[in-house]
Amino acid sequence: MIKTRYWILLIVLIFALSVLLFFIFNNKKQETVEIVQDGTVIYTIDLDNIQNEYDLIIKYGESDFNKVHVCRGDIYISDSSCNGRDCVNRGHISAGGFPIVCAPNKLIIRYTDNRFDGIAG
Amino acid sequence: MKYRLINLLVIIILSLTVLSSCNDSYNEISFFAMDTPMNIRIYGGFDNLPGSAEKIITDLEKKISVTDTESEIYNLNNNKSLSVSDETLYLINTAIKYCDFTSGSMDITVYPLVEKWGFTTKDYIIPEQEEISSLLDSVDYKNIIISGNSIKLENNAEIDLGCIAKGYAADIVSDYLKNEGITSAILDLGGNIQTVGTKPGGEKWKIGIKSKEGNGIIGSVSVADSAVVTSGNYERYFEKNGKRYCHIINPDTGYPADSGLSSVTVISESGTYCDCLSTAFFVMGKDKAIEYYKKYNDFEMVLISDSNVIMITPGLESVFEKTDNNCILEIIGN
Repeated sequence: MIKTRYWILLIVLIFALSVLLFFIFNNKKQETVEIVQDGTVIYTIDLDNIQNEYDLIIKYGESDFNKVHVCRGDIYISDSSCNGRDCVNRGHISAGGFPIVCAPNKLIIRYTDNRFDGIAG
Repeated sequence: MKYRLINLLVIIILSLTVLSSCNDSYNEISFFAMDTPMNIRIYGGFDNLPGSAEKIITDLEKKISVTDTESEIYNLNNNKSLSVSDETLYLINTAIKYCDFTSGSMDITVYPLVEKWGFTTKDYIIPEQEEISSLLDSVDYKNIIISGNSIKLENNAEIDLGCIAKGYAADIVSDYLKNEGITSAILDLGGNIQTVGTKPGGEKWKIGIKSKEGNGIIGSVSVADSAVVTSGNYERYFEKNGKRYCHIINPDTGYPADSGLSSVTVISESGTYCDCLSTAFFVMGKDKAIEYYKKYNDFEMVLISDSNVIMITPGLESVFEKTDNNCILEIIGN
C-alpha cells in the first residue's frame, strides 16, 4: 500500500514539474535582440548575459557602416555613416522598446520577444 | 510494477507533448520597401510564401514610387500625362474615391507642399505664405483627369500615393495569403499592421498603440482579420520656436495639420480604408472623425489628443487595454 502511494506521488510530481517548466520557459521575460541587415539576421544577442560591454562595426557595401554598442540590458547605434543619423539619435532600444532602424544601411535592431504581436504607428 | 511503469511512461509522454506543442512554426521575412522596414510572419504554408509576399510589394513599389525614375508615378508626375498599368490605374481610382469620401482631407496631389516644407529631404523650412498659396493651385485631386488607362495631370499637379500605398499593399498580400490557404499571419508594413485570421491557437493578435510622443505604448487592441493603421505627428516632424510641424499636410491650408490630435489609429478589415481614414481624420480632427464614425459605422478608432487624452469608439471597449496610467480614457461616438 505504501509503495503505491509513492508511485502516485512520483507521477503527480513529474506532471506538475512539466507544467511548471512550461510556464517558466514561455513566460520568462527575454532580453534577446536580433540585428537584421537586408532581411538577414546577422546577430542574435542575449542582453541579459553580457559580461563586458563591446562594440560591433557592421559594414554595408564598400564604405558604409553602423557602430553598435552592446551592454548589459541595452543596445544602441553609437555611430553611423548615414547622412540623417536618425538611427544614432533614436537612442537606446530600452527607450520604448521599438526597433532601431538605419534605412540607408538596411539595418534593424529589435527585440525578439515582445509584449505585443505588433505595434501600429 | 509493470503497470506502474507504464503509467509513469504515459504521464511523461503526455507532459512532453504539452511542452512541445506550445511552439507554432512560422516563416518570416524582413525587408525594406516603400522606404520603410517591413516584416511578414506566416504560420503554416509553404516556405516560398514570404518571398512571394515580398515580391508583390516590391513589384507594386516599382510602379508607384515617386522617386524611382522607372516608375509610372514618377514619369506621370514629370510628363503630366501617361498611360498606366491596370494596377496603377486601380490604385489611383481608389485613392480618388477616398479623396472624395473625405471631402479632400486626404488628397494625393499634396506632394509639392510636402516637398516645399522639406519633408522629403529633411532640409526643413517654413515656406512663405506666397509660396504656399502658389502651390495650393496644384493641390486638388480633381486635377487628375482619367480616360481609360490614360492619366493627365492639370495645373502642374503631382501624385503621391504614400497615404494609401502601404494599406493597399497589406490588402493584396493578405488576400494572396488567404488564397494560399493561410489562416494565421501578421504583416507589419512600416507600422501598418494587418492580421490574417487569429494567432494559431485562436487567440486574437495584440497590437500596441504608440503614445503621443511615439516613444512608448499607451494601450493595445486585440484584433483578428483586421488592419490597424496609425497616422501621428511623431512620425516625421521638425520643431521651430517651440512649435511642431508634422509631415501630414492639410490640403486646404497648405500647412501641416494641426487639429488637436497627436495620432489617429483606425481599425477595420481593409488596410486601404484604414490608411486613408487615419490620414484624413488626422487632418479633420476629432469632431469630424466622430461624425464619420456615426454615419458609416464600419470602422473603429483610437484618437490621442495633444493633451494626452485617449479616445476610443464603443466597439473597442471590450478589446482595448490601457497601459499608460498617465492618460485619461474616454469613449466617443456613442
